[in-house]
Amino acid sequence: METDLKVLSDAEVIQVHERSLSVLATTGVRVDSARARKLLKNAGADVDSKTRIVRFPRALIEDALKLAPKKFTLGGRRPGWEYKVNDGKCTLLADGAATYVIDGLTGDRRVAGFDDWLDATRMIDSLDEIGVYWSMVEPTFAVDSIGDFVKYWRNIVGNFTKHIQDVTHTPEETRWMLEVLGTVYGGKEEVRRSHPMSFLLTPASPLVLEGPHTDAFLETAGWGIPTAIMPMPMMGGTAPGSLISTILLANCETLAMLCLVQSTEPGTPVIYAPCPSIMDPHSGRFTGSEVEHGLLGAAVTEMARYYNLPVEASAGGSGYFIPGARASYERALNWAVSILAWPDLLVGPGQLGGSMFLSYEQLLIDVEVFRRSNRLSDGINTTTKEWLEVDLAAVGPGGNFLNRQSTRKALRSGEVYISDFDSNLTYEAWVSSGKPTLIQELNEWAKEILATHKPLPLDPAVDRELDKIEQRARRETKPNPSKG
Amino acid sequence: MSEELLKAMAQSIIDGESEIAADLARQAIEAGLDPLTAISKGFVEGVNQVGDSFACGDVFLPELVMAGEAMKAAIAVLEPELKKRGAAREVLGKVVLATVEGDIHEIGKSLVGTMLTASGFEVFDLGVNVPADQILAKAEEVKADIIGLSALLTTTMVRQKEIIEAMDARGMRNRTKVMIGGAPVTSDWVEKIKADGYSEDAIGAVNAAKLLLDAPA
Repeated sequence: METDLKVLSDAEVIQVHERSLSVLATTGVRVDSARARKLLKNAGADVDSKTRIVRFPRALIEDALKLAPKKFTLGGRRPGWEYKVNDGKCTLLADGAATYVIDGLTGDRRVAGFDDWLDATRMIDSLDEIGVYWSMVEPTFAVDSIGDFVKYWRNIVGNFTKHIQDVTHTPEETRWMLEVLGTVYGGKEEVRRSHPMSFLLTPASPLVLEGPHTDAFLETAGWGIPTAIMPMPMMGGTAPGSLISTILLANCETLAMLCLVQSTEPGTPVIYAPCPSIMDPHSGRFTGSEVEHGLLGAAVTEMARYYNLPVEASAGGSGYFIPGARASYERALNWAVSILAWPDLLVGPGQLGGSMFLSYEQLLIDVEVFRRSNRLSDGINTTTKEWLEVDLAAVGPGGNFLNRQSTRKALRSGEVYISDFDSNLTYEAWVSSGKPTLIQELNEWAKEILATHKPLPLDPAVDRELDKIEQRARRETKPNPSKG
Repeated sequence: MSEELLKAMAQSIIDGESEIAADLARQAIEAGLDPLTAISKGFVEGVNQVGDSFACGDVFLPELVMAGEAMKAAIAVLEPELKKRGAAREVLGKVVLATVEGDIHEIGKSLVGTMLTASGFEVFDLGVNVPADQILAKAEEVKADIIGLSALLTTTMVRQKEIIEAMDARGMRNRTKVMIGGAPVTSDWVEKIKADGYSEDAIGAVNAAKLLLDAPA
């Protein structure tokens, strides 16, 4: 059977749901967007315009859950590339917004800039296990003006050819982003059909739907842009002090936003993506090192499965600063547990220092952890032909199975995962090659990828059109008032 | 009696028990104990002990915060008595604190406020999503030694720069220093916008504030 891990019983999953309904009906959520409050009021929510608190009746939530589609695809620009959600697969979504890049060989960090963003984007385009873009370093270069924002989007679509997940911060940014998407992916109807981009919506914990951020999403109405709803309550900080209450809060915030999304445009694809986490008890920051993040990632997946929604799971990260042993055992445990619960998307490789540092070496290690975890998910194949009693009888007592076709087939069919990382050197050969560490080897590998990988270029006519949009954005807009 | 009371005061801070700390402060007043003695020989002893343990990793942040809250509760009771006696506790400096406009993230800013208060600063916490004018007006009103500006988002970090430019325009920089903080804030950003101080966490913020005012660490 396939390996299927459960960290919540069926009864506990139902409890999370029922308690969420109760919290949303009594405590409610503060909704800072007037447009959102109006939409929710029209949909049947109890809205207090003075306090901005919105309370959600059971029927509103249950109807919204019914309206959200259960199966859809995420598209991309690469010919033939599409990703079906709720289809028993898992792909990685790049983790993001690091402000530094760490040199895995020296331990030195530098502030990330445009070239780092470009390299990281090309790197994740090259790795098949990473199906979904997120900005791996903070694109601060994109924030000075709407013209720069359009340039940022030109560079995303030009350098990443699979599915894009991103966010805008103002309705104006959204309008320009939609124009770019329409230009690249064949117009509004094609964007609606193929879903080349999903919008990350992040309620602020505890229990707040922010104003400008929510309005920026509402501006996508009519385009059918899928949304991944990702509140990030942090146990002990922005969530109460237990794992289950953090899961409960994350579920409440996700359901509240889901109601808004379905009230805006019924049938909008939604990815259940809450990211409950644990506050580092020493610094108060997010580091992601705690092993319980694996449990949280699995629990989120189980809640999504209860709703039959596709899920984007997060499972912590690493608070350590350099790639290697500590970051890797943290990642391996957290990811294995989460992947064994079968999410559609898993966040995210390559980040260290509480997601503030990008490491290419760790990115490659994380992809390897992902491959191994996926293999664990696939479980033990017990179909009739795999029992191989015929071979057992043929070899009999005291022989070996080296020359059996079934052995050869097993090694070529994925029965045993064969890693590119496995060294076939003898110890003497390793010594004579200079005793390279894994980090040194991965550093070289990353350099090679960056030197050789060329993303599929944009159609020149599309690129010319994007150039016109960027120039028009620079002419028609002032420096972005929200960003200076 | 007073020795026991002072010990209990320190313990209430270590235990993070705000109500007990306030009760002990009231008992001290009733017993005629000098409020400055209650603070320096009682409650501050607890703060120091918790601070030292936190530095060693033996005390967790929520315990530190609760100790800070207990200290605030005790001071709130003792402060009026101090004024009545014409005395004042030593204040290391006045800090106006805010999360900048467009940003509603509170927790980091509030931690810094609690830690600064517990360490002897007078803090005016203006909350979140605070417009620049409001911050500067408050700083001028209270003659702030430091303005602390928090931003969690790269999209709102730029407000820190704008406020520093506004302070330059108003000629406030000689009198008032600026500290900035927030997850995306880097030392490069500090240099770029010419802030005076910066820290990656709340405890570091206390040290940074002390450095800016030449106070003993």
